[in-house]
Amino acid sequence: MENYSLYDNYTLEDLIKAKTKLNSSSKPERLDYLNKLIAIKQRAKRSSQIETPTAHASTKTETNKQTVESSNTYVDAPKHQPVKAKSPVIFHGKTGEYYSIWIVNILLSIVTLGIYSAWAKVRTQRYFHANTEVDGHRFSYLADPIQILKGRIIALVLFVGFYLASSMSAVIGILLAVTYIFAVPWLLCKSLKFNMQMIGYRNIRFNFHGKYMHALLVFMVYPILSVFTLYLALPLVLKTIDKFICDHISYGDKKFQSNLNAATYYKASFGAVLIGVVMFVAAIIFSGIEMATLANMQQQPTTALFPIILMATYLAVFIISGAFYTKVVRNHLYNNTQIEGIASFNSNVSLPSLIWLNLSNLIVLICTLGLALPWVKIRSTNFFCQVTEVGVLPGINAVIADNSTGVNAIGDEISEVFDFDIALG
Amino acid sequence: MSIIQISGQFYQGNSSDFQTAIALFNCNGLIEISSDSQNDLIISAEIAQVKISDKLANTPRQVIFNDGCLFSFVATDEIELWLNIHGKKSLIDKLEQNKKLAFTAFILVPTLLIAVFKFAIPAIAINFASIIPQSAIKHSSEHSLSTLDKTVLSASKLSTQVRESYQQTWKSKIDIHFTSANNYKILFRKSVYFGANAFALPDGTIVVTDDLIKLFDKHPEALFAILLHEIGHVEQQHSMRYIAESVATAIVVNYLFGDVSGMIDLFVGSGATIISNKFSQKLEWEADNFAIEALKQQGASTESFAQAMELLLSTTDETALEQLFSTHPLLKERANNARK
Repeated sequence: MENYSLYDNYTLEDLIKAKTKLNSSSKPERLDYLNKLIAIKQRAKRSSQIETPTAHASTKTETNKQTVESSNTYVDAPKHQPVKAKSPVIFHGKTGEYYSIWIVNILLSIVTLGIYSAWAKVRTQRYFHANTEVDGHRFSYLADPIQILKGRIIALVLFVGFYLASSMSAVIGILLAVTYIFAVPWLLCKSLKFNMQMIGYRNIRFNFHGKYMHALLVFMVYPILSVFTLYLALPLVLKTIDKFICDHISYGDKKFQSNLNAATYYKASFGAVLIGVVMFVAAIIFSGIEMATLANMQQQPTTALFPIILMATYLAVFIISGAFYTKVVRNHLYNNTQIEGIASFNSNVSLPSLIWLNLSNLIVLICTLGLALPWVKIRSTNFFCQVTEVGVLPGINAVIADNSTGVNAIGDEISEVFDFDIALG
Repeated sequence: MSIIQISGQFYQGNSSDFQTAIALFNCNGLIEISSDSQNDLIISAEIAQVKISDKLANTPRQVIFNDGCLFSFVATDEIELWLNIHGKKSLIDKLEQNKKLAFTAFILVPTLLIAVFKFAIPAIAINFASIIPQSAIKHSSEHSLSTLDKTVLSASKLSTQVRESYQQTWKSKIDIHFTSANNYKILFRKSVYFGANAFALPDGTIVVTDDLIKLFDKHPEALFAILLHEIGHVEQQHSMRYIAESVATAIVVNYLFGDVSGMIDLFVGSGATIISNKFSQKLEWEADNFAIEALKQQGASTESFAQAMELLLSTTDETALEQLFSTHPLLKERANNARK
């Protein structure tokens, strides 16, 4: 990527002028960058016109007074529903920087026999959070590596013990499987609580308040029951899971509220399945024709071709169906979630661009044997930030810290080593 | 050194309110924050009394005061120097900023990873297998067999006579050559799932399927070669080694590349499967070579082993691509190995 820092000090008018002068055919990248800058400045201008506190790098100096004034005004009259200011989510991460962090993380993790991996996790998380900016403020990641290391040691002992015990005796195996079912919801709650509490924004932490019994219903009972409906109720279960997670997140003393629609989950799930079925049928017909043609041409019919086609189809379905589900659900989830009076969210993922992102990521990872992982991570984060907007409301200045901290990393680490981590959207 | 001044954002400890502020870093180690509009002092503290976030690429630095207040700013070189002088050196950042190291690591890390997977993990697995007590191995084998009997195996349809004659021939042959603690026991089972196959449990139980007996009906020498391969698995403690290798691979992959999602997750997952298959294939080669050596020692021809592989090959198809996702090496190559 070229360096366009020369535009940094331009005003909106300068940028528009520069854009008209630019030969768009010879420098398409530069044009893209200009458009992005103009969009950011226009948003900033709009938001400053309605006196909402924004502190983009460009307007930082002049917003200070406004912030103080406007926050006072709105705290006095909170019922006044103000106009929303859409703020882009800006990601500042760079592949080169992250590559160095990543490679040093792996190197030190190997050399220290895994002990450094706890520090590696914190540095990685810090890098991604601290480089994400909304409304002029960066996120922060606040976990203590020692805490994570303790969690990791306990999780490892459990993991190895679990694996060995269940291969030694049938009774222990069954007993552990049952424990697992009851433990997973508890672990997921602990894991979400830990991860949320470690994220800060404007020096206020997030939190998660989901309770065990509720989680047991949502993560275990409902999915098991949905089997008896021949999975027809599964989209409903997926919606309930997302809603459970969303509605129990809080930012300081303010709760997230979601208003999710089961129909959208049906559309996303059935759409994804339908795409998969159509593609598999097409692949089977295609390979049937292929084999028939080869047989007609008096060549040896090779059955070897079939597994290759099947594998390619499987990958394509994974990418396309997966992208379809993510697009529909993520957009719906963000567009229908808010923190009342504080923030609303907006997601605008487009299907072709998400398919392209996933496909090209996979190809690049395979071709570089995984060495392009930092590039892929930065690029993906950039993609999802760019399609996300946060509507910041003036109440953002008056969120009070929720001091009920004090969760350890054990639940999160166990979830991680057993690989049942959960994420939204 | 004079006082250094920088602007940034000041956050209260208990609410999301903030203001832009100016920080002064004094040469005696005092940090003073004042509001940038009125120049009123908000808070001040000695460097020893505050927490300062470690340097991490170009992310903003945070000064966290005792009462939870936070000052966030983008550090300049001057401030980095000031922090260094006052004991806030970041060794890790030094490593991360080192271009030579980043470049060397590009070669070094893959080399180290290969060393971990090729040497360290197999060595750990061998040690692990040797410390597992015999009683645990017996217990585990019985458990595995009863699970398989309940799921994919059923009673053999071969006549008792046939079974006994096979068992007797094999027993005499095995007893001559293997006087180890392993008590070999050969069982017959019918299985649609396994097809023509044989497998060994770590306590020396070897299960042979009816289909395999039928397929090798006219080739008793080749069938015995397969049995020797299974004995190789038992003698070299492959089951326990494979368990240890799988668990260790899962842990290493998880902790080095675990915090990923989407496509990367798929890629990392497939990578772990391929590594695990490589381990399995290596153990198969070891068992093959064990069988080939045993044949040579008995003065028998290794051709019987090659023949066995070719007979098995006649029942399936195999492509080079499958090798990546298979737990066994290609039968063609295994036959060639016996003829070397």
